[in-house]
Amino acid sequence: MGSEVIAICNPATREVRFLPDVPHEGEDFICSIGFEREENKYKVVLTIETNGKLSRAWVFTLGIDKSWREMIKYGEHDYYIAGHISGICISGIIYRISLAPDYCIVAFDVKSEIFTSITMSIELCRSFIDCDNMLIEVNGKLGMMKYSDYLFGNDIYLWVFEEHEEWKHEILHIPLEREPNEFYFDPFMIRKYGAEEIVFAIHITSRSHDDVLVFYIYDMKNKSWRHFEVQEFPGQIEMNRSRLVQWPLLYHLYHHKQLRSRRGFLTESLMSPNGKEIACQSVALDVLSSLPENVIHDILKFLPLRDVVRTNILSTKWRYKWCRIPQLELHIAPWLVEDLRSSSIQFNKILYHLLTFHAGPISKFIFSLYTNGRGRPELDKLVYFLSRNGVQHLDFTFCGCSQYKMHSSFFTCSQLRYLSLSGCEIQIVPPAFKGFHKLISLKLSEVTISSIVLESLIPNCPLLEQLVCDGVAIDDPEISAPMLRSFEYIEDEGFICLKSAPYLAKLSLTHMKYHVGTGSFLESFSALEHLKLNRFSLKVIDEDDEIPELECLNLEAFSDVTFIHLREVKLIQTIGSEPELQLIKLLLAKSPMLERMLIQPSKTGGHASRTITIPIVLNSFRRASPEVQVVYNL
Amino acid sequence: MSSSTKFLTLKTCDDKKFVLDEAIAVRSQTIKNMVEDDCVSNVIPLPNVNSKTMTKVIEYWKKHSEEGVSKDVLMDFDKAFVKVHHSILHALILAANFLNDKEILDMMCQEVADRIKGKTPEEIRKEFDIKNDFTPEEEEEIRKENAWAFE
Repeated sequence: MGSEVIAICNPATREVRFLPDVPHEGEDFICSIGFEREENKYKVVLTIETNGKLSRAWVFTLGIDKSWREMIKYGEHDYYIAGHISGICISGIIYRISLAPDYCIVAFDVKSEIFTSITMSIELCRSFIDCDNMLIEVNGKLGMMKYSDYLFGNDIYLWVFEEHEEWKHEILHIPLEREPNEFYFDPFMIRKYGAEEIVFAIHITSRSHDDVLVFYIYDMKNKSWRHFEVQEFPGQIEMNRSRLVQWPLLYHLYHHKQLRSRRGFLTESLMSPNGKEIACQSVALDVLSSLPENVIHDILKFLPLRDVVRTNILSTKWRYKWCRIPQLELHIAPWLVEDLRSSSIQFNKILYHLLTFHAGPISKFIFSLYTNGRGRPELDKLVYFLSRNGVQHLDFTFCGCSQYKMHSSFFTCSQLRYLSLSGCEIQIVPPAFKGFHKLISLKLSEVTISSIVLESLIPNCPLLEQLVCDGVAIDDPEISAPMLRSFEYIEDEGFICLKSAPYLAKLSLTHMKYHVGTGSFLESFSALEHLKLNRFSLKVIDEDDEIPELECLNLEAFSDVTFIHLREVKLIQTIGSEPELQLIKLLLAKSPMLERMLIQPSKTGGHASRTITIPIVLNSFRRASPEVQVVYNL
Repeated sequence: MSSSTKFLTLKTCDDKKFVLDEAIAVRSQTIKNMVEDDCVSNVIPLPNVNSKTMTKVIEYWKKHSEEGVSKDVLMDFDKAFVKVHHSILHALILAANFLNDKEILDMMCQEVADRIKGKTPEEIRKEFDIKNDFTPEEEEEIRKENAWAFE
């Protein structure tokens, strides 16, 4: 038949009882079991959320009901219950997490069979919205555990719903001294054990030794940890994953009327101290499925998101593999869909899917969207989602008629190392912005950003090595970047002031004028190795007044400056103006290591009379480097 | 000059020994770490790699360490290198993962990705001998759940 059947199992007695057929076939359903002390009854509540229709709910009382009883009231609420998060029953109330329409906890009173909801503060919602969380009973109270951060070496947050509707939290720090790539931690491997303990099963991988499974057990009452290891781990392991586990009743979904081993139990034998009864099995797998998870991620990173998602239908082993990949690439262009409107519908579908299913960190996200200005709230959600998942490499490209105004949660992406934005607008830096302390590379292309924002952004990126501004209309910002090694500025009009960049090795300025502060300016370029300038005009400004161009570059003013690392200079579209010649003279005189200077004269008319004299003047300049090759390229 | 060349002996899981120039062997980050940490005695055991696979890996290392080989020649070599049955591909991936050779691993993973790209699930299952253990109902459920990817 293959129809879905619900069974209840008591692992203590090994008794399995089947419930009547699912009342509404063909829809995804979520089941939870609860116990009510007063009348000593077990009840199962089953809900479905149909697309576009109201939600429906049924209740079944064990030992009394012969069939499912539909609850009329439930439909009014239209909750969307998260399927992957198990509901739990505490003191006669079943709690489950609802993702929509609002993020809340749905409480079902087993005795009165009434649904209510517990709303959470916005702050708490945000902290849980990425779905890497579970409900847990903490000393008779409702608790929510958030473990997603643990994957990047952070702590596990345990929130407890105290009296007076107040959420309090404690932080659990698993005493596991390992790098994130040395262990594997899965939400299916967290279990409540007994009344006061939580078990975390952590799979530690090692290149030189056999894998080890370590059980860390947290005692919630005494707030203490203990652990034990299971050695002699078989090479290929497959932890049995039961989707919903409750104690003392282990309640489970089966898709057939037989107990299938792949959906077996992770029961109390998990805790067997000698580890022999551990619920694991060896599975003969094909060559692809048996690869280690990091390699599967390496393979999937070369595929477009659509192909990645489609792997979920290959086999049960593959069903949720895509959900954990840390690198995602998504391009939504109008030529893939018929028009802009369907592009945004398509985008919404994918986004909803991604936000619902993806679990674990996202280290790299490459995204491009042809936008017509629609879908802003969805984009905001995406940015927020990424900020919650520790994104390190972010590449956003928006093409189309309007720019995307960056959501403020962007500034909480504290793990960023590489950032490339195109077609965005950054209006303000939130006052609470703590900086991108790991950011190494920043590329801005066609980004609307004010100089004030740029000035408050860049000093908060202390490790910044590479900065590219292309078509960024900024007005006279002052840039100080202590670690900057490469700076590329491509702009028709605009001024920029490099205030301090002591390690700058590569400077490329195209179509621009730039202001420089007097005195220390050229000293700050002592590490310069490559210099590329294009139709520049140099102006040196004093604190108050501009100094006439011609006076600014006399060599005496730079008597204590040498470009000891400068090896290559390119001057493009030179028109032979006096400041240019002065700069050439300065660079030749002060760069003892210079190997090559390329000068390309401007080909546009009007400058011919001046450019023709450049080669003659060049020969009269003193050269600090005996090896320098000056190429004048007509 | 040759007196400064150091050789390492690698022993695969089937007890075959390979003597290799250290400069070439350190293309493996795993071996490099061992050399740098000075924990190389006489023989480096490679318990996860068999001799057949190691021969392929060394062939790659040697080709890519040769001097004066043009880019085109290397590209042709790489192209031929990855055109193997998926069981060999699998062994090479595991070896590259163990040896921590990002270059070979990436190249192999790219090849696997190319063999997946644009194919229907049935074609992928056939290519890699993946057994479909879903019921038709489950398969339908997944297609519905991920409708945008299967459109």
